[in-house]
Amino acid sequence: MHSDETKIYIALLVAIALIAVFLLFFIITIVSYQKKYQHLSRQLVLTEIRTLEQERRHIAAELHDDFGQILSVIRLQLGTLRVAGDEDREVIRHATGLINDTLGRVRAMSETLMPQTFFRKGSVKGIEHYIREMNRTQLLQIGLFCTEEQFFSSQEKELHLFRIIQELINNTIKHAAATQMDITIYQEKNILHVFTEDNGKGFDQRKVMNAGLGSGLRNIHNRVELLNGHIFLQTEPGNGTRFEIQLPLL
Amino acid sequence: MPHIWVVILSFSILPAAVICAARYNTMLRTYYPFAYLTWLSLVNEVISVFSTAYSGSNAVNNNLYILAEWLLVVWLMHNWFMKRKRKIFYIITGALLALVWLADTFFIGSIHRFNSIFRICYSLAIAFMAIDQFNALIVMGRHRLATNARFLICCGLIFYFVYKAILEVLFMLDLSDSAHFQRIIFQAMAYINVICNLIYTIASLCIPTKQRFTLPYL
Repeated sequence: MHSDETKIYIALLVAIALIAVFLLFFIITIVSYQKKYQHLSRQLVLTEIRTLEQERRHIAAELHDDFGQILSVIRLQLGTLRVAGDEDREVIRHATGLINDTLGRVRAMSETLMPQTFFRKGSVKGIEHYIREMNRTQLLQIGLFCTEEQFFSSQEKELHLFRIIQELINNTIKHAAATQMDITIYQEKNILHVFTEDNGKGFDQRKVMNAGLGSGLRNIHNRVELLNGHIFLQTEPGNGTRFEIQLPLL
Repeated sequence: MPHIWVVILSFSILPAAVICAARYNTMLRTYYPFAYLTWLSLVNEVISVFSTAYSGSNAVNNNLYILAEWLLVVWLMHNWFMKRKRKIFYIITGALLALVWLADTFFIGSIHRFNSIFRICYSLAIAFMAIDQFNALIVMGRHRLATNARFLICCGLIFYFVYKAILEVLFMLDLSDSAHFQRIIFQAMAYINVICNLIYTIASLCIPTKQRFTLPYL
C-alpha cells in the first residue's frame, strides 16, 4: 500500500477510535446521571411520605389528646348540671349524645390517621382491625387471607404495607361501587404478594392513566416504588378491579 | 476554499461578542467567562490577521490564546457546578493543564510553533467536561433545553472540541505527505467553527439576566 494511503487509513482509525471514546464517555455519564436522578427522586418521595406520616401522627395526637380531652370534660360537666324541668333534661341528654357522637368520630379519625392497633400489634393485626371497622360500616364487605403476623423487619416498611392496603380499600369504597372485596397476603421465596379483588364497576385503565394518577393511586405507586416492588393492575369497565403487588422482603 | 474566506469565516464570533458586550451588565455573573471568551476569541482573530500578514505566523498569539481559552472554559464550568468537590476538581484540572501548557510551550516545544500535546489534552478535557455538563442538563435540567444558554454553550463546545481533538491528533501524526486530505480536514474545521459560533450567538441571547432583589413598582 502507498505510504500516503496508509497514513490516511491510520488517521481515519484514530478519528474513529476517538469518536468511540467520546461516545463511551457520553453513555457512561448519562447512565450515572440517570442513577443519581433516580436516587434523588426516591429521596424526594421518601421525604414527602415521611413528612405526611409525621403530620398524620401530629394531627392524630392533637385530635385524640387535645380535642378528645376537651369533649370529655364538656360531657362530664354537662353530667353535673342539676336541672329541674324535663325539657332542659332532654336538651342535656341530646347535647351529651352529640358529644358522644363527635367523640366517636374524633377517635375514628385519629385511628385512621395513626392506627394504634398497628403500632401496638403490628401490620397484620392493624389491617385486620381496620377491615373489621370497615365491615362494621356496611359500606363494603372485605375478606382477608393472610399467612403471617409480620412481614418486614422495619416498622417503616410495615407502615408502607399498611398504608398501601388502607389506600386500596379507600379507593374501592370511593370509586368502585363494590359490595365485596378480597385481600390475600402471602410470602413466597422472599417476595411478599398482595392480591386484591373487588366486584365493582371497574374502569378503563388507559383513560384513567391518560388523565393522570389520582392522589390515592399515586400514593400506592410511590410506596410500592420505595419498597422496590412492582404493581400490576387488571381492570375493565363492568369487570371489577384486581391489583397484584409484589414486594421484595430482603 | 480561498484563504480570504477562511479569514472571513473566522470572524463569525463577532455577533456573539457584540451581544455579550451589549448584555454584559444585565447577564448573570456565572456567564462572565463566556463573554470574556467571545471577546478574547475576536481579539485573537484580529491579531492573527495582522501577525500572519507581518510575520507569517500566528503561533505566538494562538499559543497564548489557547491557555486563556482553557482557563476561561474551566472557570465557566466551575461556576456552573454547585458541589464543592466538583469545583475543586475543576480548579485542580485547570492548574494541571496550565502546567502542561508551560511544559509544552517552553520545554518540549516552542512558543513560536503550534504545539500539539497541550492542544490535544485541553481539547479532550473540554469535550469531556462539556459532555458531562450536557448529560447533567438532559437528565436533571428543569428548564427548556432549546433556550437554555448552558445547554447551547455545551453543544457548541462538544461540537468544536471533539473535532479539534481529532484534528490535533491527526496533526500530530504528521499528514504533510497527503496535503489534499490535510486541507480537507482543516477546511472542515472552518465550517465547524462557523456553526459553533452561530450556536454561541444564540446562547448569548439566551443567557439569563440577573434577578432583581425586589420587583419594580409598576
